Amino acid sequence: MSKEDLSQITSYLSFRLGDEVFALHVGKVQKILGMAEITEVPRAPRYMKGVINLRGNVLPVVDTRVKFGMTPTERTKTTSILVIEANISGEFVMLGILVDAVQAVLKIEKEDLLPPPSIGKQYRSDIISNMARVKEKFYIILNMDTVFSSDDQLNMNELMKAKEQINETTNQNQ
Amino acid sequence: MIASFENFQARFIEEALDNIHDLEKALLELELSPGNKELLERVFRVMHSLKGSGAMFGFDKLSEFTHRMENIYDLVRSGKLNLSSNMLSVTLNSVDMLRILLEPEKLQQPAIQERYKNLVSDIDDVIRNETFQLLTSATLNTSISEPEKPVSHKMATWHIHFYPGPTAFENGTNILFLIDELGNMGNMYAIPGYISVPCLSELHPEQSYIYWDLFLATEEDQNAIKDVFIFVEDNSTIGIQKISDSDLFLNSDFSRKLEQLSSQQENIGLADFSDFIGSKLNIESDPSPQKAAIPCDDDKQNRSLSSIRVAADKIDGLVNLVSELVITQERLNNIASRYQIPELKIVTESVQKLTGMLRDSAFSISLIPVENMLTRFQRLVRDLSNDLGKKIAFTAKGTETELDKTMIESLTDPLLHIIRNCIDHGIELPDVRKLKGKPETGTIHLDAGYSGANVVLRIKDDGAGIQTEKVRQKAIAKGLISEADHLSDQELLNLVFLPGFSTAEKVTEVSGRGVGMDVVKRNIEAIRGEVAIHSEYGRGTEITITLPLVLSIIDGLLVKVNNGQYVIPMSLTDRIYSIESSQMENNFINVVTLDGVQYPFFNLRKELSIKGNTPKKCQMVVVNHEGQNIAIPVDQVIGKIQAVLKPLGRMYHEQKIISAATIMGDGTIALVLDTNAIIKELLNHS
Repeated sequence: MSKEDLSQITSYLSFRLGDEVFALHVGKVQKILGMAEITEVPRAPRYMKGVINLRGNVLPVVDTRVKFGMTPTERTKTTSILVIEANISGEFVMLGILVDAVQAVLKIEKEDLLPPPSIGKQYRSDIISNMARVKEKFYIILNMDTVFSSDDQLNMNELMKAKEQINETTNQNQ
Repeated sequence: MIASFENFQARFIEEALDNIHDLEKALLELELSPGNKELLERVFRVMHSLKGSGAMFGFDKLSEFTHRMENIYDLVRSGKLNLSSNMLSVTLNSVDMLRILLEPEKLQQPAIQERYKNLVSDIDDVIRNETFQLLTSATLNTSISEPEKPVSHKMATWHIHFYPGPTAFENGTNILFLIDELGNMGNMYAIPGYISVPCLSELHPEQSYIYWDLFLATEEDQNAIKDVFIFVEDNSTIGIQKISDSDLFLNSDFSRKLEQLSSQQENIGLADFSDFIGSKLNIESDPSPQKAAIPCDDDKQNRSLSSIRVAADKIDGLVNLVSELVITQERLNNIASRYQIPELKIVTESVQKLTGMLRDSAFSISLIPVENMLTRFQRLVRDLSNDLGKKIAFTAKGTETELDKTMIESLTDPLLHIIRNCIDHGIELPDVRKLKGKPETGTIHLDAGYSGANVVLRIKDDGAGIQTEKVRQKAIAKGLISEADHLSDQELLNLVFLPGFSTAEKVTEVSGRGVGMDVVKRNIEAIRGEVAIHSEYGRGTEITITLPLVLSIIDGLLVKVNNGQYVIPMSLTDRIYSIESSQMENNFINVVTLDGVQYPFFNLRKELSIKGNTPKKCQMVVVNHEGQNIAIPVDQVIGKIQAVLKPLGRMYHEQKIISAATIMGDGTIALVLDTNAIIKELLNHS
């Protein structure tokens, strides 16, 4: 599918990490896998969970919870691996991200997309590509390219603060 | 597939790039042996075919530009001009321009347009100046400038029989243009032959049926006539014969005879002209005019028989399939050993044998000789040494050594950088060399060859070498080491591979842009190679690159540590010992004695923080690298496998001691240990 076709699609996949819900444009998600046997690779950053066999190819899997500064993922019935393609410094990399649960496919029209909040210097707002409100609920649409472009650990609390803040400002505006 | 114009264009570009590469190579060779007529012919031929096919596919600028270049070599070929170094420089620059001209959109850029204009005027200058010089020197000293062969061609009348072949239209050739081109050479009378044209119901509209008998009186020689047919010669029947050394069109009987023949519509043979050939008979004795008359053709045909052109992704696809097959093979082996059915076992074994053979031949397809990179190196040495006023000869040995094509691709840039360094920092200026008692011309030598399971490339120069003290000062200034550090000369030399290190006193345009040897090292390590430097101050520097033979499949030893499976490359494994684990305990220096020999060992369990307890007995796998042996304790050696290496990718780029992963027959993943890195880490620690 070409880039133009992709931008026409207004579907987003939402998933849960702990109590928080995030969304990704469906064009970014290649596959959804159930939990698989993960082979650990020693001496890797803590958020690199290991590698899995994806149809004869080796796919690195990230413990997304650790990347966002939460406790490591515990395997449950709903734990899934989203196979995404991220552009990491100009190179397209396929990788799996562990999520606590896959939730739904949302329709978000272009005009409902809000710009990312610009707050705080210590906080990297570039990992948020957009915010969106669907049925009175706020979603952070993540920019996976920037999430994985550095080895830094991200901070979920600050991400949540950003969400609250934008929630407040939009409520005030209304 | 629809043979659209775009398809032809893409094919043309591919072929043109090949042609340009050939041209560059021939020019560089020509510089070494300026008198070589054959090379000159090759240069001319390539230019001619670029010109013609360029125009045919709508690359008018390319065609026009090549025409200018061709003018120079036409003069050289006919002996009116002598080949000079300046001329070659201009031509080589023009060769670069040709590559640009293949991308017409680039021509829109003002900088490119400027360059184009300059080159065109350079070419014109060359023609003007060199002819002028030749003329003046000729008048001063007529005896010297006498060309070897008389160049002024005498007027002659030729009979050309030309049948383009049934498929001539498929290439988009307009045959009438060819005939027009011939007509421009002199007086011509053309008699078309319609004899083989079938009746309308049987006529195939895409085939050509007509042949021509052409009578041409011209001053051009046979080669020039042949050149006209350069694009169609493969499928055509072309016979060129001289029927007279004079212009027969001056003879009215001849013209009358021609008119008579053309109205007869019959096969025309030379016998019809016996009257005219008579006294001045001079038929070139050609046993088989079609083939032997065109010697260059033989070469082309041989080439097409011995090799074919295949798209790179097809080869990649083949190699991938073979890799998958190898994995499936391992699975089959698993099953066969589980059930112990004799018949299954026999089949499994023969399939395994075939898979191995198929694997080897698939990989040999993707091997390319080192030679393919040479032209770029020669060109670099030539251009850069001229710019810097240095005299450098580039030599190469063992260029038939073959490497995986992906490896060649990722090697070219690092090698170019190394050679650039040799030219810029290594080789001294001619007068400096003279003072030092060295020959004025420096040499850069590339030596390629096999060494065990590796390919070794050495680039050696006889230049100034590296002064280790200077490296030390610089490293201190850059904060890479401290004043108090005592490093051996070799350790100091290795500092040049650190990021941001550049020993050049001033940053030149050529090298020292901050990206230096560290990038070279990184690129080579990315293809699992190693790079080492050796230098003697005042004598020269040698850079050695060691690369694995194949990138994607290795024979490996499968071992187990706790629940994890690991693969150790078989080629590096020396022997395996079984020991009591207690031998490793309470061992502060990490050395075990095996069979009377002491080996340092690398405790995987500890180093890779693998959980679980060490079993009572374990196996010691002894691996070696460059004469150094170490032992790796593992819980269990499972056996030999063929491991298809899958890179861990960007997310694990920091990972040093695991070089790849491989997928086992049962779908699980085993990690491939990079024993060379382990040895290095272990020995550097102690």
